[in-house]
Amino acid sequence: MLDEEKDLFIKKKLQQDKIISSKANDIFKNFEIQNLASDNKKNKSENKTIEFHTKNEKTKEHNLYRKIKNFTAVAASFVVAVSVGAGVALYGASNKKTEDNNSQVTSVNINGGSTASDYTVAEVKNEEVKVEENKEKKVHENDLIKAVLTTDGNVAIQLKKEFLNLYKLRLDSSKMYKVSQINGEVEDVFVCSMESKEFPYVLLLMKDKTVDVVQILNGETTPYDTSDYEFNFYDQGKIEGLKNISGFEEETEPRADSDELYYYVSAIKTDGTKKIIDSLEHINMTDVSNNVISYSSQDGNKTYKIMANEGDYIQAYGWTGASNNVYYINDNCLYHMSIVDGKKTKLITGVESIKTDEDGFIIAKLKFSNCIHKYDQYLKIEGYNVTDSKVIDKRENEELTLCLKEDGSITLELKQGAKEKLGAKDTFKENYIYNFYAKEYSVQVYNEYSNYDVRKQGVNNYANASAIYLGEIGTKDKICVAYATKDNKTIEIDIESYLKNSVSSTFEGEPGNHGFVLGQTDHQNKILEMNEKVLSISLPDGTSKECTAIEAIHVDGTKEILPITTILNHEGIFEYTIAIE
Amino acid sequence: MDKVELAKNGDKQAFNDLIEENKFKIYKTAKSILGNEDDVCDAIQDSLIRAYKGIKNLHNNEFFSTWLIRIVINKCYDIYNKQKSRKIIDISEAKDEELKVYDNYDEIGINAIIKTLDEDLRTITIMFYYDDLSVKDISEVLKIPEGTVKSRLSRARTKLYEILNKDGEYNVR
Repeated sequence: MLDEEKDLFIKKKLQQDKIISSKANDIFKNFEIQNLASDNKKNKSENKTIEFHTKNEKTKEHNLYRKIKNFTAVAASFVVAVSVGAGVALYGASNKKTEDNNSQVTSVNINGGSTASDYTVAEVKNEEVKVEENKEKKVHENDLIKAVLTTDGNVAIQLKKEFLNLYKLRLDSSKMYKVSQINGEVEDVFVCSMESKEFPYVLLLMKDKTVDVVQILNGETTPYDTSDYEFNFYDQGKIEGLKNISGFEEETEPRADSDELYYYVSAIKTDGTKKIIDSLEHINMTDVSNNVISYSSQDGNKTYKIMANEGDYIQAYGWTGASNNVYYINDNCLYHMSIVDGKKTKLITGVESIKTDEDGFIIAKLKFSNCIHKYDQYLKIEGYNVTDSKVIDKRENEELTLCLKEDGSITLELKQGAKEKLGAKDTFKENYIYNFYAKEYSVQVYNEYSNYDVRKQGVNNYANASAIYLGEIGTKDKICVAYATKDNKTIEIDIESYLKNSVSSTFEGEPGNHGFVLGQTDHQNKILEMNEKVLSISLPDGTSKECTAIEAIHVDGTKEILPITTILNHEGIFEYTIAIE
Repeated sequence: MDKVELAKNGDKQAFNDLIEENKFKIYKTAKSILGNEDDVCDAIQDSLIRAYKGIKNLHNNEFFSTWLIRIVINKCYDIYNKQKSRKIIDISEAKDEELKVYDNYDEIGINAIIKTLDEDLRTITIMFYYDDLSVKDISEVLKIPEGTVKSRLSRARTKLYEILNKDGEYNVR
């Protein structure tokens, strides 16, 4: 009930705000004017209305790219276009144009008075290729675009004269350009339009029966600060939900309010059924930088292709928050790369796979051998279980589970609710298995800011433990973790303070330096088991108090109360030292 | 025939009416994601055209509002992604700046309040509290589980209530 009441209260407060900027308001108003204007025009030239609309929309998009932000100006140009462009035929049938022998547009006379000066010099960033007829494995084309799959597996695209005239671009229409970044083997190519004929796409039917898409217009990378058009044809990734596809079919149907046709494409499955491709609008592929191409689905989750090596694009993932990094695996190493400057940083070796979770965090699944060089706030670890060795001892309380494995590694898991109960920092995660490192053996190796590789040093990166302890130590209700190593040391760690205060989000920090180690002792005998032992001890002020200590059982069956060298309070501040004889 | 049906059949006045009815939602949604007024205007402009072109494909008329907001959100993310590659935005600094200038929400306005929320909460907050979309609708629009929507809403609710009810005008029973 409280939440519902709060919701009503918040809704009321927020919805009071009916302020809209004048600039945005102009957009709405002008949109209305635009629609009504076209209605008026429709009365005069009924069969050209939609044609005019689509043309105007395209003009707007291009004007937008050219940083013409003022919609009024666009609307004005629209009105001019109404007066001069009423008879514009979109697909070149009525265009009267002359071209030189190289098909370069030199002068144009489109109905309404367009001239050569209206044309913009276009450029294609892709490699130009000469495709001989005997190398054409598959060819598909429409009035605007031609696509060729060559015998060597490349795809080449040609922008035809009709396309160049439609968008008023100056470019050699005889040239073919190689589509870049194709992931996988292409089986067939299909040129089509969606929505209107003037929005062309090239679909790539892949060998694995999925479908990749090359967008012609979105392949245009027009930077905001230039008036030139640059096309960049690349495989922008798979269309979601299309599997077992064997071919395509372009279909049209009349638009409700004009004689123009609505274009759509069906993918034909191997079983003969058809699936209309209606998800292109949900795929947004953007050229992010020279090294990174993004792909985002409609849920806002993004995946990326990045250039890890020269000319070699691989899959990467981005965090949906404010991070400017993308994450990817190369040779089982997890890296992040800055979208801004392309700087790559090695994070973890021995990573099996990565994915994003529902909150957009990157989940890295680790393999048997791994090493964490650097950690960041957008990264979560899955299977942070440094070995798959058998668990031989398990200790748990309400908040924690501590396991000892046969190979000497220790894992620690925070149970549901443990963070709140123990006041742990947000960087720690519940229900994750953390490996508990024996830091004192590899201090330099696991420094977060060093890229030192522990495996190259041959240093054992796990605890090398023979016994574990989870329980209280000292005179306060302080939860501690202790372990004995196979080379006869015991380490007692104030895990509560560690969770509250550690700057690390894993257990690979340097507990000694942060004051989390309560004691560290060398022993003569190997310890096989550690248990809780309550003692009455004499304090320095002469009083006595109950104190919890650890009783160790050695390999030879003898028992020993482990000395506690320092007692820290819950804030990790030194209280006093006692020694148990 | 309802306005959506009319708009689907090419009635531009009906389409304009629908846009007018939803213009605050469109604006607030875009503003909450993008912030920058130029970008917001670009997003609105493109979204309106996209909606106009696509309305004939809308299968269920009653979901017009949800569908429209989804277009706006998608467009905003397009722009956001492009912007992100061009400049580094320090969200924490932006937050501080907003809060330094204003002392209470009356002066701040919804956009600044929304900006104080973590990024993953902003869109959901606008959709739920401003656009009046249900948890299920939000889940469908953003393609995330309802549980995630609920947990994010819970976090947003706590924070928003704290900000909006600073004066204690609303007493929780």
